[in-house]
Amino acid sequence: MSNHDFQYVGQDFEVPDGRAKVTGEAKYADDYLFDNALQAKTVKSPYAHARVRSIDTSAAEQLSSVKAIITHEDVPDSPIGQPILDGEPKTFGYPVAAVAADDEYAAAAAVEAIDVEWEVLDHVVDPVEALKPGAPNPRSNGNVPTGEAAGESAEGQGGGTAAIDTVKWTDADFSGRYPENPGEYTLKWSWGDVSQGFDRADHIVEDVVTAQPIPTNPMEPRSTGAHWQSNGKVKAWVSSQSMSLTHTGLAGMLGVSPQNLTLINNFTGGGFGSKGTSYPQMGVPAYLSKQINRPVKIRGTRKEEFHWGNGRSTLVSKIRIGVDDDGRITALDIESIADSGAYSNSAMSTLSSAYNCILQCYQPETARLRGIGVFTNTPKRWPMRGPGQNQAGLVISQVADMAAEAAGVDPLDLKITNAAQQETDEFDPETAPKTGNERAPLTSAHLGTAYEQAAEAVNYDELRQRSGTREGSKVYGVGTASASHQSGYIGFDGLVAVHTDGTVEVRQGAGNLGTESFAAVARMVAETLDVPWEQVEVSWGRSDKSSFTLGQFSSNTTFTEGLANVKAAETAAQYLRELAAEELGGTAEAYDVSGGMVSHGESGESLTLAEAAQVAVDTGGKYTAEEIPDFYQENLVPLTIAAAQGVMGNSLVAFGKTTGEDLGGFVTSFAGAIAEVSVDVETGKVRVEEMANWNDSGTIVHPDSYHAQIEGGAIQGIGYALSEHYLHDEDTGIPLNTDLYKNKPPSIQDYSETPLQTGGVGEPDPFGPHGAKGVGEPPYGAAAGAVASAVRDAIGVTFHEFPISPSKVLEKIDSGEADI
Amino acid sequence: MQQDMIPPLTHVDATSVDDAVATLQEHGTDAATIAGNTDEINWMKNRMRTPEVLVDLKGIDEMRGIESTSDGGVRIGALTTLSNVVDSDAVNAGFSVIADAAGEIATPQIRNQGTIGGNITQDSRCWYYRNGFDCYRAGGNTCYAITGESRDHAVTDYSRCITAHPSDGAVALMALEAEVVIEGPRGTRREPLSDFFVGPEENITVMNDLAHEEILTHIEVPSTWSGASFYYEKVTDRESWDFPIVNIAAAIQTSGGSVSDVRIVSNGLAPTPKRLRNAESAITGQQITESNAASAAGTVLPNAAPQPDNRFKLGLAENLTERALLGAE
Repeated sequence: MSNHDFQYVGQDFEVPDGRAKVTGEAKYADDYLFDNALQAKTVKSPYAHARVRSIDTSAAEQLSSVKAIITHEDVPDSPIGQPILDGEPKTFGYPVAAVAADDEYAAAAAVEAIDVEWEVLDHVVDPVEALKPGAPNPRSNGNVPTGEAAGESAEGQGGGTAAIDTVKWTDADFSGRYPENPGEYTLKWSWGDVSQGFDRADHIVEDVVTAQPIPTNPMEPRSTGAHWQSNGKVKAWVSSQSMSLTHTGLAGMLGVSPQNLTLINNFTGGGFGSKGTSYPQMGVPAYLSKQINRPVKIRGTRKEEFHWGNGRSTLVSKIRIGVDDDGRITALDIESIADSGAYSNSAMSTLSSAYNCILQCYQPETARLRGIGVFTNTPKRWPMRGPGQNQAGLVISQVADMAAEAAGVDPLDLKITNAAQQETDEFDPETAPKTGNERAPLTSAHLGTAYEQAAEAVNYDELRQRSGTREGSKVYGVGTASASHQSGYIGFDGLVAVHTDGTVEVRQGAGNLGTESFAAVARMVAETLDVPWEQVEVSWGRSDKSSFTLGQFSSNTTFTEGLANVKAAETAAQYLRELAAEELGGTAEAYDVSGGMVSHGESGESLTLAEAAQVAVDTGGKYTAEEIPDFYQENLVPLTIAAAQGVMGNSLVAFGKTTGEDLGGFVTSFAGAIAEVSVDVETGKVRVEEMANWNDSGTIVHPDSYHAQIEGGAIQGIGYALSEHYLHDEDTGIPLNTDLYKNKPPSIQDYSETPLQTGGVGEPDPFGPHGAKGVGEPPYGAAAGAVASAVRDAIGVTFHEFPISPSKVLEKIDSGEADI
Repeated sequence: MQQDMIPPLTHVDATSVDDAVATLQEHGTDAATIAGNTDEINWMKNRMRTPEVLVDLKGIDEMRGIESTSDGGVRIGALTTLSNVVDSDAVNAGFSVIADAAGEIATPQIRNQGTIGGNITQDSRCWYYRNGFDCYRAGGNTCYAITGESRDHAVTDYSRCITAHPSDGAVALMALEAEVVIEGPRGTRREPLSDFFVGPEENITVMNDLAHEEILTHIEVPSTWSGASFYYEKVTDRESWDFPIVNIAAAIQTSGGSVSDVRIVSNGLAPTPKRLRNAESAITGQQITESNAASAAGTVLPNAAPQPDNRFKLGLAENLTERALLGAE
């Protein structure tokens, strides 16, 4: 741990938005009230796949309370993503028309007055089924996204290419868990000679495991207020986890320039990836408002979250592992089918992210990884907390245990032996653990250490001793697993202003998802500028005050937004030194910025930040952004410069821009988890008796938030392994468990009963701001995989499907497969 | 569909049972009743039920509260919240299995709002029925669960519709031979809880025999089982709000070391709370030993006809029966 060198980094602090949240003062999108506002509701498809033949709105138009009606013909189409309204709705519950009325009662009545004539089309909800010859295509133009996967940074939040084709595995035998003799794959990675790797192996194991789909279930359903003014400017109050990407995304969706769109989003009740950028629930009220130039609100409902929201992709993986007698993985061969739902190409990203996670965590000597993404008539599969990576953490943990058993080594030893663990203190791209088809070096990697620290926290040896023992009807088991996530990106902007009252304002651009990483960004600026925390303000929640950055997803805000703003703070410090030299004499280098002062190292002459900022205002030029240096003019996104408008000329203004020079590898955060479970062999009930979830996230910036992220991720991961799922009726394609009590995410009573230890390795990343990486996603996949591994350890049978509900456990026992 | 808005209606606060009955009579099937309103509100928000008049029973004081009766039983007003049932001294003194069952219903918030009357009169939890499928129970002519997702459905005693009864309170009360008191246009009637529930063979669209203009006012638990040994267990997917995959309530009386009387009732197995009579008769007169319990739990569902995805319930019912016999205290 090197946190001891820091003044603020590594210390807990009161987050700037906390009081508003606990007092109820915080306003979420649906809390805003407007004069003269109208309320929107939508007309939805009652079929899993249908085409609108005609829409008769005449009766609704006669209602005096109805002020605007739009149909799919009034909004832009979308080649592959979710259109605002769809003339060929590809899932149950997808909207085809919308109304704005005086109030919500009137809007609901108007929806019922609209008559739609449907042409019902064939549907498919099972991703494997979609590849069968003769099976219907989920979209009229195909069953498979064939474009390039979006980069992991985008995580399907955009990017990628929209291409659709029809691929059927005509020669495959679909009778087993995974199709034999499969057809074409659309993603193919390999290095080394995997067949030689298997030749070198002393033991080979193989199994097929499916990670199930689940909805994202953010606590705040997606509500939006929009006001399209008669002057063409649009203001929108939204629920998002990304300011910059949502701002540009919504501008594109509405066909307005970003400068004409102001986005307000102070608080967000979670998103788990599903609110990374603009979504149709923003477009509906905006296009209705365009017709009448009055504010229009749409209140997102819980039911709509299930139908019109997003979910985690199914991942069906056939995994073959070759190991030597020491448990070293000599060959890894995986084939997978992933699900995009109806409205995205993100199955491609699911595959690449899943494979990256497995490569990062298991560092095989040779590998061949193939996969195909398919469409189904189910809600959009969109990033959900470790999208691909956490499915990977779940599907591989039991198969890795099979390999350990075959080799006669302890499963934890196998996982540590193969884990990404750097051999040198300094970053060395040659010897660093690698990832991806390009074999990119990881900037830092301490998964082995994370496992070892988790093992110490739970006394792994003791749990291993208890493994398989029985107490009444309960059998104990211990499991291990890991997950990882790319968690740092460059190419983004930072903006720091020093006001003439001495306040340092960080105009950062992350959203306020609830993770508090936006506050950690300001904390890192305080560290860099060595300015008293009380003097630091972080602004958030308005597009016109936000520098451009990636969204608050992909576990990346701390690194990405932190680095851009730390660079801005470094520039601000340099400006302060130059200004002090100008004012007090001497060279800029002779001055230090510390304790809220700019002081000469020898004479002790100093300026307060307030005085220095006044000198900046008096001097102007680059110091106040009245002249913007060429580098920033050329490289900053215009929105960042626009976000400086309010402070230009009246404060010291410093920009930050991260570029390729700031990063020499692939930033990856890791989690290693160890779980003990008990399995009641009479009721099938699995209880997590204990878990340690340890993360390699670089320097820990804000311990409270850090541990909260691991706790939340771990609990969500336990729910993924044990209770949560998304169920569609195959005959009708209609989702069945569209309530929280049927869908069964873990809740407070599940949480409070799980003894959970969380921790961090804390080794700094050489490229991270103050050594920080990210934390949000890996604890989830590590927890899910560790629970699956532990259940398998307890009753000696591999679970091929999830969640491991009491019924699945009892079926394994009844069939005699379980070893109890 | 998914409007999440209750259509306009007239909300009537009933002042007495007679008033409520009269209002229901007046409006016929245009009227519906609410008490805790933890469930009806969802039917209305989803616009699957659109009553014009909503008769709110919450203000009827005579239907609330718990009292010990002169003969040693306990009388529970139907409007008593589940939390109050859990905390009731009168219930816990001799009939703690009711509190045990009520304490595992839903969530603390729902137990503070929901009533014991609502818990035993609740509608089917079949996800097809609740999602608007035109199934038998909804007046159609098919059961979607039989060909679809039926893990949570009945394995025995069903007829066309395979819904399983979801109540936790019902199994505990039925194990204690509770009776329900019902007020209607023709006055008061009472019947054993075991007769109150109605299976699909009798009437496929309802779960009990409460007529539209009738009000369940009280539940009366006789002294018969006071102080007996009890057992309650509920198997669920998660700790937070969940309906039973299978639950079980048992009341056991012993005399001279042997079982003199026993009642075992289970939900999640049949469209109505299921008495496990085979196990009851097998253990009666026997000492409760591990082997006797195992033997009594051997064939608790002799007429079971499960679906492929809920066959596991047969073994689960046997395991729970054995646990109930051995664990009752």
